[in-house]
Amino acid sequence: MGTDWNKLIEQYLTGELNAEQVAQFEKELANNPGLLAELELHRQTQEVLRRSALRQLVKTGGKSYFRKKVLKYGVITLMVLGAISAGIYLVMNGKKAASEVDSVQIEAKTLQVMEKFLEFDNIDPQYFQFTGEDDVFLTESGVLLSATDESFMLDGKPYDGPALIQWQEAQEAADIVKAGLSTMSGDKLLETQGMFSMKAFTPGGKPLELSNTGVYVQVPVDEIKEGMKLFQGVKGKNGAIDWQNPKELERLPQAGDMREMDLYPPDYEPKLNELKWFKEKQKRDSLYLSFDDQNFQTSEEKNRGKQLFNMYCSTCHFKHKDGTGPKLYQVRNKWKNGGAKPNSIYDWVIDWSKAAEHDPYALMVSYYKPTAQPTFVNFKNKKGDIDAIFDYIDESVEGNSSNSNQLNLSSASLESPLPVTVEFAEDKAKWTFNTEETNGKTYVVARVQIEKHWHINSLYLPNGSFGYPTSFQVMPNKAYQLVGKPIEPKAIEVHDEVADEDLKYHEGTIVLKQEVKPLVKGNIPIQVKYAFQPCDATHCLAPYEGTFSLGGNSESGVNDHIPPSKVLAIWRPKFNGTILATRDFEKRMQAIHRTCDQKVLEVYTRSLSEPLWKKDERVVGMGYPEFKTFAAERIGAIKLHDKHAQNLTRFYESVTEILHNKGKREVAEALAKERKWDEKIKQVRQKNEIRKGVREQLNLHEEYDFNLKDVCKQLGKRVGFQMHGGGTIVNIDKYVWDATVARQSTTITDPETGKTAQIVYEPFSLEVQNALEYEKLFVYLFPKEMNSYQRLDTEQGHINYQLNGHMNYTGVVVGINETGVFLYELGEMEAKEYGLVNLKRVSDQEFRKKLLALNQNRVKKPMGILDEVNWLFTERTDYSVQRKRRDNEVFRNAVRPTVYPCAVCVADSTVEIAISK
Amino acid sequence: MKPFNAQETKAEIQRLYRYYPETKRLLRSLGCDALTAEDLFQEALIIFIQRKQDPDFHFTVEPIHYIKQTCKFLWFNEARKRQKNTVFSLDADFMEEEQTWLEKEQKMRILETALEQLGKQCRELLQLFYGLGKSMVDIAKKLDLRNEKVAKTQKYRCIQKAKELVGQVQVESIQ
Repeated sequence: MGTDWNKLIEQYLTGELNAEQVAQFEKELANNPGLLAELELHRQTQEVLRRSALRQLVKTGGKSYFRKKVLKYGVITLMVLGAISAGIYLVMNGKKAASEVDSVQIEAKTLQVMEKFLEFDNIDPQYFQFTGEDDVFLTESGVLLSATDESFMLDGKPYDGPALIQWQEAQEAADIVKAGLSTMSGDKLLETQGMFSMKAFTPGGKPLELSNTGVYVQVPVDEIKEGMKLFQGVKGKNGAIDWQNPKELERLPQAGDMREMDLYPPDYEPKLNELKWFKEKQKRDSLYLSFDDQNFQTSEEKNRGKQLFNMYCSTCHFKHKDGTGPKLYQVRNKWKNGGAKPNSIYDWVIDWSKAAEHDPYALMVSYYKPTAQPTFVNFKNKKGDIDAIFDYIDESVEGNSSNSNQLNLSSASLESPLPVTVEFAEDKAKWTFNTEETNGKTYVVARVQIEKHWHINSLYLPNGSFGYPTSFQVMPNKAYQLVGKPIEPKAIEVHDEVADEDLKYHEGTIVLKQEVKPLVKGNIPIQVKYAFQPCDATHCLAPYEGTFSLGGNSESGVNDHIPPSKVLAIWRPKFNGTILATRDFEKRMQAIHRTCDQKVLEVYTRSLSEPLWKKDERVVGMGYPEFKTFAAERIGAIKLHDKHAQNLTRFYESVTEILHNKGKREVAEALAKERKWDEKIKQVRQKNEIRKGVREQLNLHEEYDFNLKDVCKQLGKRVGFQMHGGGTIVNIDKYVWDATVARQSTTITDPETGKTAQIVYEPFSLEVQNALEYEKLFVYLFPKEMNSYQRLDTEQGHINYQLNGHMNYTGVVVGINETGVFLYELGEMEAKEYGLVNLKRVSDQEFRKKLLALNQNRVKKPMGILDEVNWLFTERTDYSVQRKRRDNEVFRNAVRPTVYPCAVCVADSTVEIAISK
Repeated sequence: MKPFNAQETKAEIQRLYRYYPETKRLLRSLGCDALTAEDLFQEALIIFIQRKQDPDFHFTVEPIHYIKQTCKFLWFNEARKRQKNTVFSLDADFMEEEQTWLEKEQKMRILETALEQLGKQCRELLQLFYGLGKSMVDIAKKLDLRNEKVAKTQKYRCIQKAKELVGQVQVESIQ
């Protein structure tokens, strides 16, 4: 082939040749009929190819249409089924089968063959053509048949080719009589809803058998009668049919797509919608999951306590250690046992000085350290809030707290240590509680760490002993039984010669146990009461009585809620095609949520191949009669291969685990973030406290220095002691010091010269408008003659302060709240009434610049103020952080009951220790 | 003939497919089974769309009417071929107008079967080129060929093969 004609023709037809080539080609064409024919064929082939491309489009276009259509069709059918379907009697001769409505063209020969197989006489058969792919047929009387490519077998082998389905039905009494059908089962007469016969054949007329998958038959009936069953017809020798092997009827589950289902607790989404929360499923899932590992006792109170503690107390107080202030752990008991008046501790928190006036114990506490306890007037009439703080602290476990890091906070070396030592029983023996399982037995365990040189008495004291026995009492509860008495280790027994008394006591660390037998499974609330009196060689302390609880942690086996992780684990497309991805399960899920029993959920998630009604009945058996309605629906199974079912079960378990951990991790991360911020704000506050102490010292000393020099100048003297002829010692320092501390105008007369010197203090006052809008409100004074600036607290927006008349001040009023920083510049200060001032909002930069500038405006070297500014900014941020936390908590508290509808009763019980069972 | 715009054509097909249920009903009323009905409907769609592209042709009837009539015609032929007893008549007016076209398309349909013998890659390549007017660069990319040159060489080879097959069927159908 010298010339590639094919290529040339192609190029010619697609216009790839240039004019010259075209001319040459056409010339050749005119002379070569063979080429012309070839060209024609080429053209036609192109046409055909084009057409086949169109066919491709038509086919795919049709496909997408079909997908849509089938979906719609499926839904309609099933709705109808739901309304009318019920039991049937099926004739089968070992065969169940199905097929469809439209009349089919069948070759006469085949038809003849098939007619021989008719079961019922005098009843016209219907034929349906089954293509071999899944199809649904509707018979004349409205019976629905569904066949799949796995429905049939030919000679014992699976058959997935086309088939003809032969169908006979006798539903009306007249038909039954006409067909001469019996309604006998053995010797019993049956009431029938219809009799049916179904056979299937290959297109050639060979009979097919039914496979295990079979054909689904749905029969409409007027009413569902109890005990309605499916019977198999067996032809007797005389040709009469006897009905045997009654079977329970089942309905097909209504399959759905997991992505379109709703498995949330029933109230969850409505609540979120009400709160106008995000719509995205991903976000809602994530929120739902965040409730997964929740400790139910994290009630609002406790969180409030935590927040308040962090907000107001943690700067100076640790929970379990003394800091600037004493530790707060069990402080209410401490006061009570120390003999404080009732409620005086609340007065103390609000205003310690008032409490000290009325209560000697409070007065004693006020000697603790010279650093004054601030007043918290905002707690006035809020005993609940104070209790919330104490509750939070009392429940916290030592060592576990974020506040345990040490920061030595004695704010100035000037402070003297506390002269009074008070000993408390609970410091001498520390109790921790737990539950433990050994050899299948469950114990509530108390671990008591007794301080060196101290002891506590045994649980069981010898007769005649005067000692205070230690008690460890697990409080009775319906959920468990106590087994025997508390067990203690062997006690030390000695005879006290002096008191002539047998002693029996413990030292060191001991473990007390009480066996309990849980009567119910799951999270059992346990309350423990305990009491003891520690003694050392010389004396005994006041006995301590306490109740205790450990935060129950909701690990596996907790039944009073449905863990979100378990719900989300099944809620994924992987479970499509299982019984879980059905509208029927979706409906049950609502009820499952209402039971709050994850065991119920497990019934459904385990053995996925089981019919739904069996699961329903099992749940009824677990004590949930409300599932009877479901069981009555008789929803069957979606058959899965065992292997497949096992895979999915394994998958479910691993995903639950993963999700559970994810939820846990996310919560932990959020908590860690919160802690980090808390830590930061705490440190910033501690630094501020230190700075404040240092600054106030500086303020005092610098002002004293200034005043002293001023006075001396006025008197024309040098600083120091002056001895006088008369033997009088005039200590100018002392006068000046007193005047400075009291900020009081004073006239000092030099007895020697008769000269007088003045220290002048004059008041200025102002009131801030809308003071309550600000979280913090200060007046900063910048005395030109000093290095240090002064920060003055305002009281409800009022300030009244004595300015040193010989100094020059500039001043500024500063307010901060969540929304920003606010300023009012006082300029060069005068001792006067400024009246009502209105702060103006300024940007952060401006604020910083202003304060730095004012601070610079001194005669001497000013002390740094930047750290102070940053502290203010951090505080400002903290307000929004705290508010967000509060908002979030409020939000979660609003949503939580929808996730755990049963948790309300849990929150009512006092204490929980999880006995994992 | 211009290649088809895949997007537009698909949209049109989907639009027309809405008539499938009623067309199917019509066909079944004439004794056609469901599977054949769909084949016929698709064939009718192809004929219709092809027809629309003919610049000289103007529809005198609604598209659905055209399709239904075409289906009827196709089933008429099919039933006859299957030796089924069918008693129905075709719309005379329609047939008069469209007879030639329909017969031509019927022939095309037969020739199309020739392509079943063509290799999958060849068929796809040629369909993309002649049917959808894709560039050789696009085709090379889509079919994972090294470059457009390779695709072009392949095209020559494939059209040659297709031609042989079509020619063969043509000869057979004449016999």
